[in-house]
Amino acid sequence: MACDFPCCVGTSSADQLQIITITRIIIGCMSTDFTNPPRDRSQLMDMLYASALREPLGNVRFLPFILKREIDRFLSRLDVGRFRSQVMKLDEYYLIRLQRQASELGAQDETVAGDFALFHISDAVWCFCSIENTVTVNKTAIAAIQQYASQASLIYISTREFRRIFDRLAEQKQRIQIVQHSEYNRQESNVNYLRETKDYRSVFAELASKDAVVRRIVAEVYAESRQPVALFAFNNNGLLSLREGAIHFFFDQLVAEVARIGNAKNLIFANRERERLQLHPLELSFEDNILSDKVANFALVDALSSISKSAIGVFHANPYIHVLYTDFRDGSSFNVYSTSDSTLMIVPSTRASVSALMKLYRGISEKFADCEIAEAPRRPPTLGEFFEG
Amino acid sequence: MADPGDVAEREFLKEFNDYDQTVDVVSCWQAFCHFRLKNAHFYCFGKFRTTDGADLTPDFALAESADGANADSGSLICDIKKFPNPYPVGADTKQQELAYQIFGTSVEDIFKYAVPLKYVSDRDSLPKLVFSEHDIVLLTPSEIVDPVYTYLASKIESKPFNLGRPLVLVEYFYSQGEQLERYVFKWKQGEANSPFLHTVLREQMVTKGLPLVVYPKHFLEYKIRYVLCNDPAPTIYLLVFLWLEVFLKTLSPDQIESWQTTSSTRAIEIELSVDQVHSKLETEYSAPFSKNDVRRALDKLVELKRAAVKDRDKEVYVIQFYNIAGRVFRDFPGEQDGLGHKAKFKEYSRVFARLLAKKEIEPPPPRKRIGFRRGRAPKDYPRLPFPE
Repeated sequence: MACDFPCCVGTSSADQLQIITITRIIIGCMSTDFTNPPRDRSQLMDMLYASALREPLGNVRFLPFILKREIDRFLSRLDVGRFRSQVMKLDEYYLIRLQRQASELGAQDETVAGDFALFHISDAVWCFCSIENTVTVNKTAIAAIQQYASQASLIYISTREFRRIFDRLAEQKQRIQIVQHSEYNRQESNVNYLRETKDYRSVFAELASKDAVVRRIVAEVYAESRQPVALFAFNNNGLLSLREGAIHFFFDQLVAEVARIGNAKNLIFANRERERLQLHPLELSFEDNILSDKVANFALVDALSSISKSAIGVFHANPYIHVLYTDFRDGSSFNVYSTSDSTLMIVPSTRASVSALMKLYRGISEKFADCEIAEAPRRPPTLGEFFEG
Repeated sequence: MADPGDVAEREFLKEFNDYDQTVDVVSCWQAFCHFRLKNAHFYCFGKFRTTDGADLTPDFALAESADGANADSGSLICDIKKFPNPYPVGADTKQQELAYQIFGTSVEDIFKYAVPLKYVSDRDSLPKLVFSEHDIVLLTPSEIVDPVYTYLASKIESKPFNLGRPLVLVEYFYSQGEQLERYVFKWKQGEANSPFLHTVLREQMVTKGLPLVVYPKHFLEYKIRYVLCNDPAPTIYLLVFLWLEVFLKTLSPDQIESWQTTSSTRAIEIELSVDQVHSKLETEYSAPFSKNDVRRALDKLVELKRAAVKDRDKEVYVIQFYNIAGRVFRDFPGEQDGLGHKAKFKEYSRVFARLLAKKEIEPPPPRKRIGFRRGRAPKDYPRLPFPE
């Protein structure tokens, strides 16, 4: 069969056959008309949404993520270790069949494959897009991003950022109802799943009163006319799933907002490595003088030691806290210490990836306390600070 | 009777904490020097040579210089010292005399700086100044400062304390109270104590009686930059730093990422020579780890069965690297039924204290082939390729 795709021009017949096969597989789950792939990102999203509607419990899932290097290097990393991929390049996006093979350790970990579109959103943020189920997305796209820790990072959405996104929607006269959500309770160190329909403000107020943070939210957005606009799920790792609604509205108001957060974080987190004696610290700001109670130091140590694939050395736990934290995923490390009753300093070492900083920021803000992160301000001490009258 | 393992573990942790506090104190004075004495040079590493050719390593020195060759009057040569208790509880007369003798010898160690000294190391572009008009400063914790003062008063005839150079006694403590935490340094009140020659320090700390205070937000950045102080670091301190900070960075991110696709408890082999580790520490951290420090740490890892010597002549070691946090040990000193109870620890100073105290519970596994293991790892206990 002849292939009409521009991308196939100039390739051998064997390559063409493979590309057609991939295209059948990928476009086949999106559209019955696989000989005519979407010409641009907008049409791609329409086609994905139409395909999702035909699937039982179908969703269009978006996974924005930060990518430090050029896309070709990332694509090549989708074919190493346990990952295998087939990639087709189109004008505005890539189509990818991504497979994660079973580990050598046992049968519990079966080979999983998923079909994805991959496109650039803005600056450092790219996005996987698919109608695959969450388990497949977790085991393929998310695992691939996590495997490439030195160059790629998921985008952690803090509870404050969830709130800000919903506040912005509300300012545009949208009404937001939380249909269900899961939360991590810091006091009880457990995850609870709640299925109650409430205005988002009530849910966030309750979260604050319980000292809990959002893991995942299922929400429904209504227009001023009370017409439903979108029903979607939103994970704190940036995965967004549209069950039904206006896909372009969803992309512009939610996916693009996560991408904006990702780019903002990338600006703060990238290129922070220590160069000999030059340090490039970040500051975490908390409310309520949380570190004035020394018991909080131990809670912070617990929070840091519970972060996966990492380890800590405590140089001081009391009275001030100073911890050396190492991420085993790519060898990044950081000194973390208190600078006041409401601030912590993070000083990246000679290796410090965006994903490791994202993971550290997530670990602290999820397990310890809500916080904001920014470049550390330079505050030289006043002369009087050294001699106490 | 105390379990020898518990005693050893406490001792290793104490070594770690004592050294860490010395690094804190040096960092405090470095922060003060940087922020308050803009034209002063701060010497935290390296050697000073006497006119007799003896090399001395004070904990730090501080100097301004008008001519670029000589340290100005009022420069400081400082040592930080924690002294053994001169009055041990329950000691008989003979033991008491011995304790006081040990204490006195330890105090008198500071006297060696009362001679002209020249900085002779090549570090951080510091000028090789001659110190001949310096104060000797002895910094000691507040809880021991009175016996030290009394001892000095009994030994030094020339008052205020002068051994050829003035000796200034300064006490320090870490203050928590209602105000923000900070290190507090006080000139020891007493007629026999020398006032500082340095005008700022004399005016503030002696004349006005104001303590020098330094907050963690100011000194910690110096501690992180330099990691060590001018004393040899205890092995446990080196092991924690090397394991958490250095070893993994000798691998490329790609190598680590491939390792991490397997299992977090699988060991990855890292082949390193003493020279390679030392060079990395010098170039990337600017901390004066000696080759002997590195050798000492790697040999200890061999003893702990976390590394093997590959080539003794070339000093090449193979480290079996994995996350050893969460290892199972006999429980913490002071807890009851210590021998029977198992406890897991995730924090590395404690993990290494227990490894060094030989409190690991499981026996080392039998020798297996070097490299990635194929079988499923027993939880928390990767197999290591070493003989029993």
